[in-house]
Amino acid sequence: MYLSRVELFGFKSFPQKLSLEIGAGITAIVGPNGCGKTNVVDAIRWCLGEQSTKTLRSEKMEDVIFVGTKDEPPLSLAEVSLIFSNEDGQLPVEYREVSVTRRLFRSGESEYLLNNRACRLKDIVDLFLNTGLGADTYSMIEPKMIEMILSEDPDLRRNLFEEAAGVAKYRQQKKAAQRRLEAATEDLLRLQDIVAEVEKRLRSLKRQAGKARVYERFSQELRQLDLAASALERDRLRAEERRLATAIAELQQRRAVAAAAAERQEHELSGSRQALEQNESAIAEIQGGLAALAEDIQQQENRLAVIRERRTGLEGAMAGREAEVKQLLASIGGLEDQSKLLQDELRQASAAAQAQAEELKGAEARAAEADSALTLAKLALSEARKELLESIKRESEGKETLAVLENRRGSLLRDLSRTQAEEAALRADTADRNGQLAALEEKLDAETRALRVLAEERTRLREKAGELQNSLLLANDRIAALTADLSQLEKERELLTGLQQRYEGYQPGVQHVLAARDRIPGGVRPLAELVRCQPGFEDAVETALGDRLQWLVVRDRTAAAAAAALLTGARAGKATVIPRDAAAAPEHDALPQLPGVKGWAEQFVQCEQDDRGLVRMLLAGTVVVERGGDLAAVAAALPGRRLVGLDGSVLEPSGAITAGELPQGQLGLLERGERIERLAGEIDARRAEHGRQAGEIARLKQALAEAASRGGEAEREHERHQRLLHDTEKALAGARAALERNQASLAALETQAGSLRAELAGTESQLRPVQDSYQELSESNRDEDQVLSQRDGELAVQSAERDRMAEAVGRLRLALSQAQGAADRLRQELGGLDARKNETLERIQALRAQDETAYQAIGQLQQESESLALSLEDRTGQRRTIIGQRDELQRQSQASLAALKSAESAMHQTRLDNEAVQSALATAQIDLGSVRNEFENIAQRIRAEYELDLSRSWGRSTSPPCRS
Amino acid sequence: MQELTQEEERFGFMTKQRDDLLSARQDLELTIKKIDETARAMFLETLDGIKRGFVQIFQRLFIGGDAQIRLTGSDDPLEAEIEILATPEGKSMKSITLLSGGEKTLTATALLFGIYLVKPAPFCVLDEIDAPLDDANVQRFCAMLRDFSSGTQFLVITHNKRTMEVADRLYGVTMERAGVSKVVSVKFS
Repeated sequence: MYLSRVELFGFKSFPQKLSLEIGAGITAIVGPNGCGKTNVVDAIRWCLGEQSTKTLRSEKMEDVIFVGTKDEPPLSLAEVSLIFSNEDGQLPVEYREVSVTRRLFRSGESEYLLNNRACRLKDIVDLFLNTGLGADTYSMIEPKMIEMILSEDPDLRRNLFEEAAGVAKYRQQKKAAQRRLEAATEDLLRLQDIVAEVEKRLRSLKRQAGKARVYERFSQELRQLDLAASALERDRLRAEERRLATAIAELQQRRAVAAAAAERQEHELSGSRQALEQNESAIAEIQGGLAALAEDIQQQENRLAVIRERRTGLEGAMAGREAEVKQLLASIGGLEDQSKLLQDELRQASAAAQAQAEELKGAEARAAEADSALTLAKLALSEARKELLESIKRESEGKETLAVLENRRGSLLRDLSRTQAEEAALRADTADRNGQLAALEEKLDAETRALRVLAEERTRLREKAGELQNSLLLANDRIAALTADLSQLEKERELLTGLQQRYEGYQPGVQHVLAARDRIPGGVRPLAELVRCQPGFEDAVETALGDRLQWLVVRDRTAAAAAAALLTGARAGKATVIPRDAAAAPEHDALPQLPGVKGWAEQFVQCEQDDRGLVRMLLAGTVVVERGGDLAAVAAALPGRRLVGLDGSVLEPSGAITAGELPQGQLGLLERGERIERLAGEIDARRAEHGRQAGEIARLKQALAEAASRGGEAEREHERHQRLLHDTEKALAGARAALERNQASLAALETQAGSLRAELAGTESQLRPVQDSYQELSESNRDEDQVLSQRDGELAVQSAERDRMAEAVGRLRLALSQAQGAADRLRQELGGLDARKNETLERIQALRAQDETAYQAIGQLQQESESLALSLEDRTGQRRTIIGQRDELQRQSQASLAALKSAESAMHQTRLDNEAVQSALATAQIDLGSVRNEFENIAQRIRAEYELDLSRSWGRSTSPPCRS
Repeated sequence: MQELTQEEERFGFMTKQRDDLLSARQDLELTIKKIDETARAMFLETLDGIKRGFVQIFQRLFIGGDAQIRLTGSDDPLEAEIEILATPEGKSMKSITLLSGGEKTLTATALLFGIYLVKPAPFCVLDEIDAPLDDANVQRFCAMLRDFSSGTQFLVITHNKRTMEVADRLYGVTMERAGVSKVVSVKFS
């Protein structure tokens, strides 16, 4: 499952419908601050059911709806949809795409849709359960969450972990269970209280139940006794009752008798009283009648006076009215004349108005006709115009279509030419690249070959460098050996030279002379220093010269003497000194050729020419023979000669033989000199060799450096060539790829060109009919427009005509209303006149009626005064009669009064008797009542207590009936 | 007498009620204990997983160093406080609150991704998480994002160029007119 798309409409800052493809992987949203990036996130959160407005950064939920800007109106609903791909079926629904929508209306109504069907929020929450998706899970990470993790408040951190662990659910369950537990505990406490209470009450009730049982027994007994007592009482009360009833009956009888007597007396009394009262009232009446008569008489006399007065007034008023009537009659005549005049005038005016009205009606009818005609024309025209508009619209549409098509054709042509150009370019490019490719391939070949050569060269150089290195090592070894040799030789030479210079090996005398050699003229040198012998003959010469080697050679005899003088008395040992010029010996003959004979010893000694004579003398007759040669045989052949062997053995002519050798390591004097010289030669040779070797090393080194540098160069060259090769290969691959691309592009271009051509053909075929219809339409529109303009002109004329008519109608109306106004005025005036005349007539009528009334009144007054006079006489007579009657009645009254008084006293007596009976009766009745009451009380008590009827008789002996 | 019978009945009823309540309470206590045990086990298991993931990712983001998640304050893991300790290479172990801003963010990110290792979410929004990170850290952060992106979709809001580079597709949000956002797609791949 993944979120594939988010769709927003009207949410926060997104008024237009917006669809964001999200898809798998990472989607980034960028942009400046405050542009609504986070609103996208809010939308997702909102759609997943976020209820907290704070999280959504708004004050109330309706704030998420787009509120409008100064250019855009606010919207009335916000809608967000999330579209999930459910290919993997992770969501427990059958759809492969699941859309979740939340909608909110500004009225506050909100709805959720799942795949466009209304549902509850819970359905959505259930849908995403266990997927880790939801408004409040950790799938939304913001800096706030980082803060939450870093928060000092450990609860926030806990929440995060618990959410991850899914423990929150359990926490809620636990809370619920705890609440229920608390409630149960509370209930239990209450219940235990109640149980304790009930238990207590139960105990007390049990005690009470014991008591109740005792009580019941006693009460049963009590009941028996009570009932017996009650029966007795009842019997007593019944007897009393009977007695009282008899007494009452008697008393009632007596009272009835007394009452009858009283009634009789009363009747008599009231008759007397009535008679008396009648008399009295008759007298009063008569007295009243008398007073009334007197008043009447007085009134009638007054009335008579008034009538006379009024009659005089009435007659005066009648005279005044007569005069007024005459005056009024005269004014009526004037008014009638005026009226006649006005009526004439009115008739004229009415006739004129009538005529004008008719004219107006005609004009109006015409105007209406013109009007309806005009309306019809306008309607028709507007209809036509509408049609024209439609037609123009169609035309413009056609034009647009045309333009679109032409545009399309143009762009297609352009596209086509561009495509063709591209194709050509591509082809050229392809050819070019093909050439390049061949060149590159050649180059690659060449490079490969060059590289191979270079590699060989490199190998060769490396080998050579190896050889050089070897040689150098050898040379180094050699030079090291030479150096060691050299130093050895030099050390030896130094030692030997030191020995020689110190004249070691010479006898002390010799050393003494040599130490003072400066004092001897011409110098002095030991013989050993003056001679040298041929190599190989050292031993022989040394032996041949023997001790003479220690001889000191000086210039002449004087010098010899000087040397000898040095020795004399010096006690420094002996020494032999020989002057160089003293000795002169003849040259030796040639020796016969003998086996083992080398020659004369003198021949093998080298020396200065000056010293030659001396040497010859010293070695005279000494022959050198081969080592180990047959000395005896030689001696025999050369008698008188001293024979010396190469090994240093000597055979004297006398036959004395000297043999043997010096001890190991000891050198003879001559040998020492020889050795020093040899050493010097060797050293020189070694030095030369050393120099040579050093030169060789330098050469080798140079060669090596050269080889190395050449090797490096070759290496670099190799690398360069490799790089070149690589580049070439890359270029080749690039070129090949480009070529392939080109071919693909070419194919694509060809397809494109084909489709462009097809489209062009299609467009052109579309274009033609559109053009035709457009032309036709536009011509017809032009015609129609002309016709319409013409009709517009006609309409204007019609309209002007109608306006004119309307104007005439208006004028006529004005005139008519004026005429009518004049007629109305006249009528009004006429009405006024009539009214005035009527008024006058009415006035006359009224005056006449008044006169009539006055006549009648006068008549009445006459009659009245006559009847008044008559009744006055009558009244006086009546008065006399009544006075007589009154006196008679007064006498009767006195008699009645006396009778009344006696009757009253009798009546009083009777009343006293009666009262006595009455009071006795009352007492008896009260007694009876109380007896009955008592009985009733007992009966009631018995009934209440034992549910028995006392009135049913049972005696003391009879047992009461059992309670049911 | 009648009253006595009534009260006896009532007493019997109440006693039964009380017994019912007692057993209900016992049941509830048992339930709570069971819930606690299950929750504790789940919590500890998850915490263990997160710990491993956290340390692994921490060491990757910090190139070495050490980190810890510790429970303190109570023996019961459900009541204890969770303390996060971090030791970047060459520093001493300290509480996460004492780290520098970038280190804090990086540590927290490590923790979040550690949680992801245990409880993978199919979709994750990161809102300017990378803001306090320096270039090197952003690079490591991005590398990790890439690794995680095979299992989780990421919607990342960012100002950082390196983070943009790692994205598969990019949307730009602008506001040409006040109050109206406009989205421009900048697709790669």
